[in-house]
Amino acid sequence: MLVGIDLGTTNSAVALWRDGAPQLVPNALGKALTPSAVSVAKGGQTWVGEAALDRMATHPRDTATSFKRMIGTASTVTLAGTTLTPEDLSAMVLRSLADDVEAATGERPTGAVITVPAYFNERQRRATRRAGEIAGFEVKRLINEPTAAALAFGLADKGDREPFLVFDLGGGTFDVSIVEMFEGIVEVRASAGDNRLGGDDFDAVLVKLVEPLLDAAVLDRLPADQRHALLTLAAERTRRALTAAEAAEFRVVAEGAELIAEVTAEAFEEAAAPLIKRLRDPVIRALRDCHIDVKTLSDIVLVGGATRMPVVRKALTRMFGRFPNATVHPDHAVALGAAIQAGLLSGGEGLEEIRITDVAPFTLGVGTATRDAHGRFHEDIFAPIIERNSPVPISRMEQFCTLADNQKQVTFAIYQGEARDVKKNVKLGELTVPVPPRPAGEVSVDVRFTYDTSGLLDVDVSVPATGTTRNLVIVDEEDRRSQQDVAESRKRLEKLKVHPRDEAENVAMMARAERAYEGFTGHVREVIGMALTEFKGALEKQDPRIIAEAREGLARLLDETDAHSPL
Amino acid sequence: MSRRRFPWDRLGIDATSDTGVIRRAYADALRATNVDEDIAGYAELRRARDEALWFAAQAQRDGEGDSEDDLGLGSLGEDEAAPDDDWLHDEDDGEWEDLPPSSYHDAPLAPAAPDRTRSEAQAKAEAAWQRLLATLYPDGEASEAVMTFAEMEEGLEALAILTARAEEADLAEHDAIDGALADLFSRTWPRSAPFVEPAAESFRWLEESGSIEERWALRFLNQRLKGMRFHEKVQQPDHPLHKAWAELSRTGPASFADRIRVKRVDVLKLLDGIRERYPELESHLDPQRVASWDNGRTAPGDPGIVPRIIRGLFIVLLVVGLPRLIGSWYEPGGEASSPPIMAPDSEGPSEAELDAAVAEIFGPGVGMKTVEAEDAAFARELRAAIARPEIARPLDLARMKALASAEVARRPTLEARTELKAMWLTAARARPDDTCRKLMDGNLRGLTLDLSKADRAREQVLLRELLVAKVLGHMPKGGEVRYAIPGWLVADTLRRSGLPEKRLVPAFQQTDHPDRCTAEAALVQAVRAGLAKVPDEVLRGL
Repeated sequence: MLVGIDLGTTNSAVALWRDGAPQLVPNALGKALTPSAVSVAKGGQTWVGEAALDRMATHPRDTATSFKRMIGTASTVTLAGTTLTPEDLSAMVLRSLADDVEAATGERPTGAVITVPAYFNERQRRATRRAGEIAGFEVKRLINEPTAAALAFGLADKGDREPFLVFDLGGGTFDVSIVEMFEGIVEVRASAGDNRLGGDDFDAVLVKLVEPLLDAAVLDRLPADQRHALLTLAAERTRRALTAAEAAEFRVVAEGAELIAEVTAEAFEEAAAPLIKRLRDPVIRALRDCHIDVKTLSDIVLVGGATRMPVVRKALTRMFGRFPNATVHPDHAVALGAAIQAGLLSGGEGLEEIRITDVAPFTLGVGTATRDAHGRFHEDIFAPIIERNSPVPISRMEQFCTLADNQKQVTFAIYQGEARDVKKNVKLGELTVPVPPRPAGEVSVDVRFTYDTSGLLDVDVSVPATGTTRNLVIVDEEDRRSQQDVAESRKRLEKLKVHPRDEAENVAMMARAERAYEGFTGHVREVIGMALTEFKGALEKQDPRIIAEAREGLARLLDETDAHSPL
Repeated sequence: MSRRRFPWDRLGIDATSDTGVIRRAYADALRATNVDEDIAGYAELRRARDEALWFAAQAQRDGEGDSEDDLGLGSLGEDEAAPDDDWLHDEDDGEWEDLPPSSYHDAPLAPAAPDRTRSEAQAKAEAAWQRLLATLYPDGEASEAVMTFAEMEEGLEALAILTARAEEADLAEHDAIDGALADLFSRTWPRSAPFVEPAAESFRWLEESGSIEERWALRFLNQRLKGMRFHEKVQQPDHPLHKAWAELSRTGPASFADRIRVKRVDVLKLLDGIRERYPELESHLDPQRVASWDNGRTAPGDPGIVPRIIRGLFIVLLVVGLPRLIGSWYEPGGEASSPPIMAPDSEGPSEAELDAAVAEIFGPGVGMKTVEAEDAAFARELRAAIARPEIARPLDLARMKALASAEVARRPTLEARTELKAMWLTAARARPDDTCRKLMDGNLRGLTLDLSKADRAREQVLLRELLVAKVLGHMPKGGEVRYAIPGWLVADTLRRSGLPEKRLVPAFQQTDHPDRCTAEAALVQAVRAGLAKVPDEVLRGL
């Protein structure tokens, strides 16, 4: 079975193509969204999703969130003594989604279509693919998030659509795609973005705005990571509250003290202005790349939770001179689109006529050196071979020649990016080919780049003079290593004890109660503490009926306290 | 059934201007293609679709009201004549002034504003634009005088209104203001210096710095901006090169004591660094002092390249005409009555005829087989032209493609192309009619160039070079090309053209200027004289 997965910075979701439509699969708590959070306790006890997020406030050091922002880098996190890569963490979320599908359909999914931000580079894509493999999926395809959202938006009525713009601002990444639909063809015309911009950055702005207003004496007593976790969690709650109100309370409970500050929508908007400015560049770049006038766009489609913010909507209305279209569900569209792609790949009914064509979001090329008029060498100059926003798959060839007399070999470093100086681009690999020693410029070398629909780059280098050829599938080297990695990662993750799925509700309830306990003071705290002890006692009795009863009671209490809480 | 030609054969439809039919045909063909297994086929299909849509748009624009099948191509020739007349009419249009457009919406970089209705805020911004212009062009003229404090205040205030407007405006207007300011400030540098920093901050200009697509005006301004920042920093005592800077700022030649006090390597590092990156900063240094350090260099320096700030160090050139190129060889000759694309093909030329035509272009010994082996895309177009020479003479096609190859060619192919252009310009200028002008527009269809036997042979050699470099099959993207001409090249062009500077600059910037041919010919000569020093982008733009 093939499923579609939206592996998000903040939340993830899984959907499948069934009965001629994409359907979301709920998690153990009955929700469509599973927070992308992992928490580990000493001894290897592990929480994923809602429960892990609830442990964030109480165990910030053992809990990881927003790890998608680190994917494709060498950084790791250590949770309760276990060192995990961003791929491992993503794999744990993916595995819990697979469990949900198995519970819902009785069948373990074997293949997956996983979405990635359009502006993810090659390394980030490869890491995402690896996360899928660690989780036990065969990753059939990676598709771009705005493309998936466009599918979900467009396939609602299957009608033709003039070019529209998908504005996808998620928790950690920002994408803009311009898409057109006609005769069942979904054609992405251009994509641009910022893979380091999202709701998280707005939280950080809010924290910076509020921090000076809070009691520094209390905050300074907190360990740095706990302080950060508490403030970030509070910022997210405040930001949500600000979508509906002109002002909201920013509230943190730490060390038994309650710190409160009021934030107005206006102050937040002003503080967020530099982020809002950054939204403009990718939009302009995408429009320029496909030569489409902003006035001819038929719609501005909003995707991603962060587009709920009034400050973002206001900026968009200004930028486009009209109101954006908020008809797709900003949190569900990407997963639904991934399920449609999964349906396409497995020949799902009702999709026979549909085809998607996408573009390469980055320029791909090689580093070259030239000699200027004064005889000086200029190295590391980027020579593009495949220009960004070319339709994929694509294959292009360029010719280069030797620079020094009697040069014996030519080394091509392969880069992805938009900077003239290759050092500012992402290096993907290197390839060396021997050449016959001749005067400079006399030996030419052909370099062919082939970029496929999943975003894999294949490089062929040949020397016509000798017939020598070299080939490099960019994933080769990393893949060989990563096959071992995948096996090792799996072993490492097996040591962690994830709660059985049927206990998920209890685990989540426990974490929630613990968070609430931390989040209140005085009498309320006492009451929660008592209820918590009672619930623990019920769990020990191992009688499902008693447990269910106790859980319901605790849930009622927490709902009540939540309602009274200003959060 | 009649044989169709590209792009219609690839789409499997007859030529049409109905975009619905084209899209449907494309969709069907795409569904029948496994794009992952047939990458070349997919690329060709996309190209066919794009070309077909382009023809359709063209036909719709030119032949409003014409029957669908006609594609409007029959009337294209006549329509083309009309603007040409206007064009000649404009020739004696008086003096060109070094003034930017009166509205930021008319700035060359800005997209055209479709509706001319202005809101109050827009009117206010336009007024601010006028005020800003007034400070940069005192008395309506370009000025090298340093700005007074009052002028600066006035300009900054106007700029603040414009940037605030840009923040509020929609994308199109924001882009228009952004582009117009970048263009204006680069033209009026150094007078515009005080305005660059605040504008760069508002429009995030430095973000674009170093990108392969950095706009020309920004490439210039960002470099100046970094220069200003460096200038500020180097004056701080803790800057590693501060001592060297202070030394070079003193007046009079350096004494023996100075030479001991300041590290020689630092001074030379500073001098070389600013000369390479921020040549304008050298004007802050004392020339005598600099000279005394320069003279002390033991290694042979390169005195020829000491940059001087002269007015017109760079000028912006706007090359237009490429967009027409794409379709121009499909235009019928004036007397052709039936739309050529629809005409059923007769037998088609024999192998011998093909080879003869190819040999005429590339010289004896080159046949169709060679062309096909070298550049299949070009071979296909060439075949079509040979079959229907009344649409485009094969040699004209090759020449036009050679001109268009600038978009993709690299050195040394670019240099070969420059030589070709020089040869053609010389020949075109020798003719009494408007041949040269047509050549400048990139339209060589039906042009007669009286090349000598030796020139013909050289042309064949050069075209062969382009063929082997596989640049002839490139489908031009078109669009305007802008490029900067280095000061030394401007000086040489001035000398060769014999034109006063006042006439030379506009000749480059206005496509209908009477001196355009003279100016371009002088530039091409100057470029060829200093070929090694000429940046690629100039060769591309020519």
